[in-house]
Amino acid sequence: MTLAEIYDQHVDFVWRCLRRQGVPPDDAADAIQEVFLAVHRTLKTFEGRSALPTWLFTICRSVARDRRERAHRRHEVPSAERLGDVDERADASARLEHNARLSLLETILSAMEPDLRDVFVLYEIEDMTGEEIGQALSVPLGTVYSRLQVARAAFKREVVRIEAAEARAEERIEGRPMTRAGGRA
Amino acid sequence: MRDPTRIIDDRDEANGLGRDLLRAGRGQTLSARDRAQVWAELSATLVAPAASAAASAGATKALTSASLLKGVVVAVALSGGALVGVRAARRPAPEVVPVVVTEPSRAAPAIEPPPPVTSPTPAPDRAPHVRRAPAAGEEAAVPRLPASRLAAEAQLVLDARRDLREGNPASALRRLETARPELVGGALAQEREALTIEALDRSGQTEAAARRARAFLRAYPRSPHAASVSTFARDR
Repeated sequence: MTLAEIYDQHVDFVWRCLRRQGVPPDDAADAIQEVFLAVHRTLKTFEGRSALPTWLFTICRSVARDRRERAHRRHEVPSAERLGDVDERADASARLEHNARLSLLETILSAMEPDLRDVFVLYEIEDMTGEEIGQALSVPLGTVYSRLQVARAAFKREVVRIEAAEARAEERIEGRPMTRAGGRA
Repeated sequence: MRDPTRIIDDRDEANGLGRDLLRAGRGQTLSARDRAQVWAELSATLVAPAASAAASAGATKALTSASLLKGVVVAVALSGGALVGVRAARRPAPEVVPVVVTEPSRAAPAIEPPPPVTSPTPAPDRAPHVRRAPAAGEEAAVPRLPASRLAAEAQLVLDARRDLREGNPASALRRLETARPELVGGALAQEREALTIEALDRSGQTEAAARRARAFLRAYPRSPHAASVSTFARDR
């Protein structure tokens, strides 16, 4: 497989992994290149003992960690920005909905312990198998499953909390008197 | 042991919002423009040292292949983009390995408009697991979220973050405070308050930022934003 083919098929995966490993959006382009430069350097030694996404994930994690350490040494303040990426959907309403969901998803993921979040994201979003995740994180399959169970419980709890908060807010808005102009007071 | 059913495949109605959020996460892709620009810069970075090494060794013949030239042309053609340019010069040169750089099929919009961006496809050499196809009717599912208010709240958060990133805390503060009465109790209240505190601090209102940061930490001690907010809570 050539570098171009790997880039074409996996750059979105690499980008998502980097972002969820804490690489700020402003640094994402540089970080993606670091990952693919590493792929280029080591592709000949990649023996296919693990799936390509598994291998790419380990590189992403290493690149993200190095960048965090470099930023720390430079005393940079971590960006508060997380999922501010603008979706390119033509329909403004669809874009708003998509971005709202991404924002909520990221809010929930950011509350998880990193070990739990890695397993949850790779399994539930990146669709990797338990075995692949075990290889990527160098942990036994049983550990993958137990982390997944805890992460899923946390995810579901947060979803319920958000739904309840939304329902309460909607009730408050509906109970508010209308102004003469027709808007809510 | 068998992998458990993924939430996105679980038809339990109680997981509806969770499924929507995860589906959004799966659909998160780089824009076609950024994809092309990053590739162009990567190509330029790889081609430059390889070409230089070849020239010094007098082995230009091997590296003037059509593929290499194509890579250079694509890199140059796209190098005016926002993500391309000065960063490549800063980065240390990678290990020189003879390389043939061909453009990915979707990396050159100037030459051929890319198709709509889709989720990444599995590599041909990937092990047995194959990414699942969407279940029947999944795409047509009626969106449960967001309600328009939640969409507005999420957009507000995105806009305020952008203001802060662009060095405009006053604008972020204005947005957040103007919208506050309409969004009391919203699902992203913690996120809005954390951004407000940062905007206050960065606009010079450090005492107000510290006061609100301490209140935030009392109200949400286990918030995911607690660590970043605590940096504003100290007396300065």
